[in-house]
Amino acid sequence: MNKLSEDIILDKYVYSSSFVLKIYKMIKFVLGKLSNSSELLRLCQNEKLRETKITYRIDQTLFYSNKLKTERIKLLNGTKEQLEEAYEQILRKKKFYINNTEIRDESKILMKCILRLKETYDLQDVLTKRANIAYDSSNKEHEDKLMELWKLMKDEEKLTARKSEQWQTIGFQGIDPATDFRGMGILGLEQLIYFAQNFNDTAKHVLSCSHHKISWYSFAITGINLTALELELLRERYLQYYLISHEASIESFNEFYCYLFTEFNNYWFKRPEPVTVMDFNDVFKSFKGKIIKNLTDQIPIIVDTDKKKY
Amino acid sequence: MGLLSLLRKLKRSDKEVRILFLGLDNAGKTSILKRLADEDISEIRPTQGFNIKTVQKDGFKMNVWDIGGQKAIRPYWRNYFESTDILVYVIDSADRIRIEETGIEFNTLLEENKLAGVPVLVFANKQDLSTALPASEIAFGLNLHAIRDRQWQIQACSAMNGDGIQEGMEWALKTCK
Repeated sequence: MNKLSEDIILDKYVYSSSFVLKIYKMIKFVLGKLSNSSELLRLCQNEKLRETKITYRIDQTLFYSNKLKTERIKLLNGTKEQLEEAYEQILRKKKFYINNTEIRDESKILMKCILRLKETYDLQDVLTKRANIAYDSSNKEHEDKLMELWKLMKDEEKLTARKSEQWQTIGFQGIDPATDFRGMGILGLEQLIYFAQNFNDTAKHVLSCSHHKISWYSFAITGINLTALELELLRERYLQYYLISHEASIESFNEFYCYLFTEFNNYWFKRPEPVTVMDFNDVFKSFKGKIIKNLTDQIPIIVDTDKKKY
Repeated sequence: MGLLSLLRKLKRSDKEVRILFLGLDNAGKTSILKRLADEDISEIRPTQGFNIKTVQKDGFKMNVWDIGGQKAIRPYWRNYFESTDILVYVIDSADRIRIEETGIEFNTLLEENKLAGVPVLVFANKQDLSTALPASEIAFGLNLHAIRDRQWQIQACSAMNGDGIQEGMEWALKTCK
């Protein structure tokens, strides 16, 4: 077993079953009593771990802790005052105080990690807001974005009308893409544009693959489904390690989307039996499983192979 | 009799029905299905291929097949006709431009051998929108009154606020009793 995978064992298996978690918590309890410390304190003291890893494990510890439920909400979803209040409570509960007045230096690491962590939860709010902005045909900004997508994907071809059968050639359902964005709103469009803009060659290649005679699928609405999938992964905390080790920003989120899109295209055409569009939901479901496995195995996500070619 | 076997027996007494949801893209098929299953409808996305869901209701086990509505997928619809108990045809009542298109698709379905005699429920969806046509006008546009070879019903509804969905499905299940 190589070093990397040893490092992952704790992350991967401790939280994967409630039984193992119970045993782990018992060990922690004994360890805490023996050394008069806490898991959070031990994490911050662990000099072998990178800050990314410490931050990630603090997230797990907080999420699965029964005693820090209210503190966690205040810390990660609350105001600045609530964060400070909860932080203070955690310092006291989790043995960061040496005596009544003196605080250990490790508290600084804890705060730094918590702030990084908070960014990932703030990102959920930002993206949910984007997804909740419905595509609006009377909004010029929205319309301009839609036209931008067309130009990026079809630079050689002109749209004959705003409502046109041509939209189907980039994988919308009908003559007006406006109705296809639905629950993913403007976020769905922005992610398609990001892919088309930053990985133009790849996006066009994926589009041409999607026109396969038998195993065709609709490029744009697959993209909208991928946005929904990514948002789900974010909310279910599967993206935590990725976001912490990169940066919790819209840009990182969009980069991951491009990775998802190319991975999906590969996955679709590598099924043991050729598939058709009617198999889409089955394939999509197993694809989700594969991505979750990659994320929990902390496989490096490589997306910028031919970046900014456009 | 143990509790488990009792439960099994109860379950077996449920009548199973196969319900097929068809209609143009963006008609609201998946939203209605999610409403039936009491699921969140705020983040619906376009259906590629199909969704299938089993919903228990009034002693019925409904296996609902919700097939994507985009033009390129419509040729696949016929693969799902077999042993359908009820056809539910969903219409976006506010999409006046495509009322004719949806009418043509609907009437093609009625001529299908495999769907002969299958009761049909038409959902005139999106009644929450001010631009929606009333169910009566849609019935006229679809020429529903000329149907002689099966039971039919049109139900005004809104997947958005849930109006009319229950009523429609109750009618559909009644035809199976």
